[in-house]
Amino acid sequence: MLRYTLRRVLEFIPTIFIAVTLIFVITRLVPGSPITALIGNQSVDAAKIDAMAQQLGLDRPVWEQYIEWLPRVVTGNFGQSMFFSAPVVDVILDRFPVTFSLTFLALIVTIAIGIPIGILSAMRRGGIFDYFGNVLSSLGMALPPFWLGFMLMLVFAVGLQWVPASGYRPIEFGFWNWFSRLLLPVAALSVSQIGLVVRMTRSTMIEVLGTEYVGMARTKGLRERTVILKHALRNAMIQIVTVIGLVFALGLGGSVIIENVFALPGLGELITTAAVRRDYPTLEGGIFYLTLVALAINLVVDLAYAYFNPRIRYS
Amino acid sequence: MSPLRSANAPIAQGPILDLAQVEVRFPSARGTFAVVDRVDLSVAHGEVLGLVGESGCGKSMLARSIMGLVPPPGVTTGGTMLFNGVDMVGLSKDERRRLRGDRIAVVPQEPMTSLNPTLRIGDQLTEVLRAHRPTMSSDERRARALVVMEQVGIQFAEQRLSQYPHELSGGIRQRVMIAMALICGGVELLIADEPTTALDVTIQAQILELFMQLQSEQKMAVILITHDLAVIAQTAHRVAVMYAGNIVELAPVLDLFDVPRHPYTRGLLESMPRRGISASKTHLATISGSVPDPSNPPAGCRFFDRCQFAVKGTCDAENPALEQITEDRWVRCFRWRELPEFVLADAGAGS
Repeated sequence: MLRYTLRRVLEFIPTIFIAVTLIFVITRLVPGSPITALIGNQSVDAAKIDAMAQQLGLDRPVWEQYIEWLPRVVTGNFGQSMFFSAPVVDVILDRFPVTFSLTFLALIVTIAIGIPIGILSAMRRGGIFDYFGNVLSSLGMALPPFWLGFMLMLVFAVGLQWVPASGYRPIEFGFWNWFSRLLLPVAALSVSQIGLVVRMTRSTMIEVLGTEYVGMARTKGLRERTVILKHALRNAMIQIVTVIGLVFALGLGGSVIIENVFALPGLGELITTAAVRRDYPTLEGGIFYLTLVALAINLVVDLAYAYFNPRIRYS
Repeated sequence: MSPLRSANAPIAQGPILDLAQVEVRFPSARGTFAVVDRVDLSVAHGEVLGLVGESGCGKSMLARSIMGLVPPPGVTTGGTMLFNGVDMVGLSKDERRRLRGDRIAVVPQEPMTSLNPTLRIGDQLTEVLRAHRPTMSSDERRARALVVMEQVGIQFAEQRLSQYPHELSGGIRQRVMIAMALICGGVELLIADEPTTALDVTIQAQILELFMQLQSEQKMAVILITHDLAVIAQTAHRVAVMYAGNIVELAPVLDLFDVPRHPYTRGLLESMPRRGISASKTHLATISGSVPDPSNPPAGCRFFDRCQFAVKGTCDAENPALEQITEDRWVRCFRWRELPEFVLADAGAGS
């Protein structure tokens, strides 16, 4: 297991290299420059613009910028943010807990609701529970999260006034202060994820319930609960875990929109603002850290996959 | 090959399993249809009963019905299933579950797909005890697992306990399945569903031998489902031939091979590979056609279409009843008295 983990981690090196290069290329390909964004509507003479470009290192050829940039970035140093006049790393670490709270809570909710509903639907295939599960999961997947976010906000924050409509409080301000502001964004983000997990769990479980080893487990006189949870679910988890990893990666993308809807000062919100302002270092740093999180999730998925599937572990 | 059949004749006292009018039905667009059709069958204590027939004849479904595990939407309807004198049809789901794996066990056809790929061998063995002997400690369960593994000839048992199915060979996997059936120590009826079909020929003989050795040691009754008549010839005391959900012939094994009464049984014996066939360049006989669709059975004898002795007007009018022709023989055929003498095409037939 240790060797397997090590191998997986080593495989990240080329992935990170490619990701970082892509980030650099894409940010440079976007039309416009940070200087026009910085000066805004002020009239500034050409000498000043040249000076700014020199200061930001934008006067040199792109490949030189890349060669100078790459070794710094690999060590996690993205330099100063052009707008926040603070190191990019600090800006990101400041925002990270928000995005982490949002996506992680959404993931927990998704797993806690999606997997049991999927299992029950599979066990009662064709029944009334399965029917409603099917309808609701399709509906959940079809609703755009941003629209759902606004609707939830209208009903529960504006109408019923149960929770605040937007904003964020760190958990140090008290659990409820933190949690109440995350309830709606988490709900908006998890509904479509739940739909996906229910469908995947259901179809995988139906497949596994039809296998001979599940039949054999019944033939051995095991209790139905043991048959389902130990024999069937364990095998189904191999595939479900993969989907959960995918769902989390999608959730990271979805969080960008949700953070903007609910005015949550997270990484997604930071990245969109940085993109508008052409704040290259912040943009690059933000995407880089999201990539790292996605890779970390991939690692967790791979390890979970190996945990559930001994044939992988020993090959 | 010498018969592996245990010398001790079945114990005469009341049967361990007595099926009467057992029926397994599935729903269809036009009501329901029977896959197992009013089967009467009994198995004596310590008896090895061979159950033969082509694929789709209802052999495996009958076995599932005995286990109480007919896959939905199928159901066992009507009939009685006495196990040691108790009608299993009237038992609750949990009472049925308690019998499974403890007093009635199954050795499946495919040991590879019947073992859970994600669980260790030891866990899959001991969980049978966990379900049926809840008072045993985990050390006792482990010790018991090692004992049965040795009994079924698994070497390095200690090491095997922590291995996964994919790390074992086919023969060892099937030994594990047999150990699983024996682990509770109280098995009275063993249903072996084509236990050697998925194995290499060399391993088949070993497993069969182990099977019969354990059978005679433990005095358990065995229902051996197979379409391999050579296996039946070596192991069974009596044979039930199934066709399209019906039992068409039931006889002691030697009588059946000597004088098959039902045309289907004759067909099965003729299509059995045997010595001398290739030398004399005769083709191995086959039964033309295939088993009728159970959802749309013919009005008359179910074997009518494929039977070389069928007579229009008699055989296609109604399905013949299972008729007792001697003290221990039954046959389901209108014309069994009139059939010509059965002679196999070549010498050296059977076992």
